[in-house]
Order: sequence, then C-alpha cells, then structure tokens
Amino acid sequence: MTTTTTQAPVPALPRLEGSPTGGGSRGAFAFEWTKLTSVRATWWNLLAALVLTVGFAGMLGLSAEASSAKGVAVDEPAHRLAAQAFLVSQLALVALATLAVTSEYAGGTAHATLRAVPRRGRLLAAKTTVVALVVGAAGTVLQLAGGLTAGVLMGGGGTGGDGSPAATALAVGGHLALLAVLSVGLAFVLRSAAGALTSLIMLLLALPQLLGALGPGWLATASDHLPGVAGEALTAPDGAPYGAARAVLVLVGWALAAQLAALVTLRRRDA
Amino acid sequence: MITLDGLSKRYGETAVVSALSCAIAPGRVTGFLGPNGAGKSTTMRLIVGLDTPSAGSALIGGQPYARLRHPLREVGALLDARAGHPGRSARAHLRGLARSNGIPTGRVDLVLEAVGLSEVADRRVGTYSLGMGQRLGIAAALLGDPEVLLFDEPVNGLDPDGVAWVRRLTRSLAAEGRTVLVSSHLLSEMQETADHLLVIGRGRLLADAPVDEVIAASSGNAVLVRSPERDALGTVLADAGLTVRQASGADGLLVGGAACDTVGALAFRHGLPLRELSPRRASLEEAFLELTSGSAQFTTSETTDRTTPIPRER
Repeated sequence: MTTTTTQAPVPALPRLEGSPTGGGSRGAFAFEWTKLTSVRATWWNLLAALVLTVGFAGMLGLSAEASSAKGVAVDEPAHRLAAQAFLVSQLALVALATLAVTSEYAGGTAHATLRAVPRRGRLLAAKTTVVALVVGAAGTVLQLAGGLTAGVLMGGGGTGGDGSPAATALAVGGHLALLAVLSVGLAFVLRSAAGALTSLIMLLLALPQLLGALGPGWLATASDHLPGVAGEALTAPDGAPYGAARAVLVLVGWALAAQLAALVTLRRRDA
Repeated sequence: MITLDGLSKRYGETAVVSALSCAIAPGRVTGFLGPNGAGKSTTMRLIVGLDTPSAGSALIGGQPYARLRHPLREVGALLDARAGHPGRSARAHLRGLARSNGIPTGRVDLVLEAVGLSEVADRRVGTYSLGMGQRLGIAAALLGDPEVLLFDEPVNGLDPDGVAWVRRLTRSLAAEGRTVLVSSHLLSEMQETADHLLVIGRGRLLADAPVDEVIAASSGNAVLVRSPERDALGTVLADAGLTVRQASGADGLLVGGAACDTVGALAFRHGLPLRELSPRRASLEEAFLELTSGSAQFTTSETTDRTTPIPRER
C-alpha cells in the first residue's frame, strides 16, 4: 500500500460544497442496492438458484416424458411441474436474503450501516425492499426458464391442466419475494447466519412434514398455514388445502410478523 | 459541538457510563482517556446512537444522532477496526456510504487518496492489514466532510509513519474548526496531539481540562534539589510545609508543591549549599495514573509499577 511519509503534509481534502441533498429513504435504498450487488455471495446464490431450478425442472420434465412413454399420462403443464423445483432452489434465494443481513453483523458493517441510516424503520424498509425485489425478480425469471426447460424435455406431453406460464411465474416470484421479506425480518432478529438459516429451513421444509405426521387435526391445520405450504398452495394449486387468496394472506401474515419482530429488535436492542 | 448531559448506560447491575456531563468543543483536539473498561467506547457508541442511553442524552449540535437528516455529513466516526464487509472492495464500501447520505460519489476517490488507499481501493477489504482497515475507517469518517469527528483508538495497527499521519490529520481537522474527539491508550501520543482532555474511570468523569492543567495538577510536578547537606535541607523544607521525598543519589531531594525560587530562597536563607536545582515536570502518564488509580477496572494486583511474580507450578 502507499504510505505517506513522515514529513509529507496531510493531503488537503477539499470541502464538500453546497447544502446536502439526497439521503433519506432513496439514499437508504441506493445504499442497500450497492451493498447487495457488491458482494460475491449475492451472485453465487443467484447462480446456485439458477442451476438448481433449471436442473430440477429438467429432471422433472424428463421423468414426465419417461412416464408418458410408458403410457402414464402426465396432465400437469410443464410450468406447474417446473415450479416444484423451487422446493429445493428456494433455499439459495432464502440464503441470499438472510446473508444480506447477517453478513453485516458478522463483518462489522452493521455499525457503519446504522450510522449512515440511523432511523431503524427506514433501514429495515430499504433492506427489505431491495432484497425482496431482487429475489422476487429472480424467482419470476427462473420459473420461466425452468418451465421452458421442462417443456422442451417433455416434448409434446404435459399440456393439460390450467393456468398460464406467466401466471405461475408471477406466483413463484411473489411467493419468493414474501419469503425474502420473512427471511430479512428473521435475520435482523437472530443476527447470525447459522441461526437464521436453520430456523428458516425448519420452518419451510421440516416443520410441515413433522406436524403433518403427528396426527391431531389441529396440528395438521397449523401445518397447513406454514409459509412453505402456503407457497405450494400458491404455485401448485392442485390438491392444496386452500385457494390462492388465502395462501397470499398466510404468506403476508408471516412476512409482517417477522418484520414487526425485526423493527422491535432494531429499536430496542443495542447494535 | 457534542453535549453530554447526565449520559448513563447500565447493563443490568453494571454501570458502564455514569452521569457523564460535559461539552466537547469545536476547534480543538479533545483526548478521551481512561483505563480499559472505563466506558470510552460505550460513550462513543452512545453519541452515534448505536446504543441507547439508560438515562441522560448525547447531542450533536443540539440534536440526537438519530434525528440528523444526513448523519455522515455531520458526524464522521472510526469506532471499529473491522470497517467493511470482508468480501466488498473499499471503493464499493465507500460508494454505498456516499449514496446513503447524498454525498457525491466523486468524493470517494478523494478520501481514498487522502488516506493513501487509492492503489488498493478495488481489493476486497478482507485482504487488508489492520493498518489498512484503520485507514479505510478514517476514509469513511472523512467521506461526508463532517463537523464532528470521533476516533476510537485511531492509531491501532498503524506504523510510526501512520501514527504521525493521524496526529497531523487530527490537528489539522481541529485547526479547521471541527470538533475532534480521540481516544487512545498511547499517552505520550495524546500529550502531543490533544489540546484538551476528558478523563473517565469506571464510567465517571475524572477530569475535563486542558492538557497543561491536567499535568500541572499532578504531584509528579516537583523540584529536584541536590545538596551535600541533604538532611539539613530536608528539615528546612519540611518545616516550611513542603512535601519532601528522597530522590536518586545520596544528595537528592524531590520537593513537591513548590517552585525553584522558593526552594532556592529557603536554602540561601539557611546558608545551605546547593549542587543542583531544577524543575521536574510530570508526564501525562503520571498525571493519568494518579487520576485513575482508584478507578482502574482491570489493574494488576499490588501496585501498578511493580508486577507480582506468578508462582511457578511444581
């Protein structure tokens, strides 16, 4: 690195002229965008999501093709089939959302961030908006890519069912954006990547299996209202316990609860 | 201008900062001193709103930090050696901070140049040495051209060149009329850098005075006098109400609470010959140790100038 020598004068730093402009919520948004796009973890997670989505969608397409070759007709359209890939690939996007928060606490930038944007609500809103937009857009595009891949590999098969590929893509994007809102909120509460990711995997994948298997009816009902189940109801409505409207309501409820907990934590707990 | 008014922070039963009241004025370097655990860092964190005070307030230009519209343009702080995300470049780190507070992004290159990091600006911060991280922290503090600067242990990890650079930087920032609060463990460095001192121990304010006054208040200020008639001279001085201690050598005495002319006049009046008569000025370190002797949180047992040998295992 270059060092100044002992005799050298301090380089004169010109004063900032003019009265301050910008900042505020737009500044906080630009800040979060710069932070999210300037670390490799974000791009790795997006790449992982792409590989997982397209890979699994392709496998599902191939297996559907094999089934119909044996005379077992698959009446699900390719885009619906492909959406199942997100059972796995959602984790890469959830990780992206979680790390956007926890890496700040691990790396010591949380203090710099809070000094730049001291209003906790503004910080939380900016972080959540940026992450949810990125994850939601990624989910939409990945679902379109997965649907195309599955469609090509299925050949002519799997044209039954209803819903358009665009509608499914929007549903997947919306579901993932709400999951990102939930993840960001939970990450602000727990502050550690390990804690937040473990909780989210439990919530999204393990709990629905566990609660459903335990027996009592009210537990099964509770299980139906976990965010993972609601997400499936939204993106793959066949056989879902409830319709899309209720699914959105359940997801929004989870996301809001996590955000509220995050806001209380940010305001109450010392950084 | 920073104003602390009854600022207090408790963690459960432990009071880390207790009813701190003082004004940190612009145009001078205020040194912030205290033993480890005295509450210096906590005070700085309270000033920038990272921690919430249990009682009292810390105001910047009359406003709490969280109310500042463009906080980075009013307060620059170096509080943590880990300045940025290890996977992000210094340039991206500063660019993000600039955008958050409406600072023109062109300013990023200027501050990188000012701290000597231009050539490594696109390297990931995780590859930086402690000293480079410290320079990045200073760059971030200067980014918004703020009127108030807080530097917590700014010379940590810096080489002698870097230490001298920080000294010149803090002096020139204060000369420009800014409020500069610097904490450091290096008392000799503080003696050269600071105009004014804030000394705390166990979270309480022990001194808020110009450096010269703090040093002048130390009992380490004395007159060294040597005489072949040492014992007789000692009696004369003690009778005059002065505190007299033996100094090194067979003929030396240290006289506290008096100036050279008083001691010389007394010796002359009693016809006692002198070999040496010289003022001895206390160092900031002596003054500091005296101030904080009752309040150090983590001192070695016994005295501070003699370490107790640790018994060997048998």
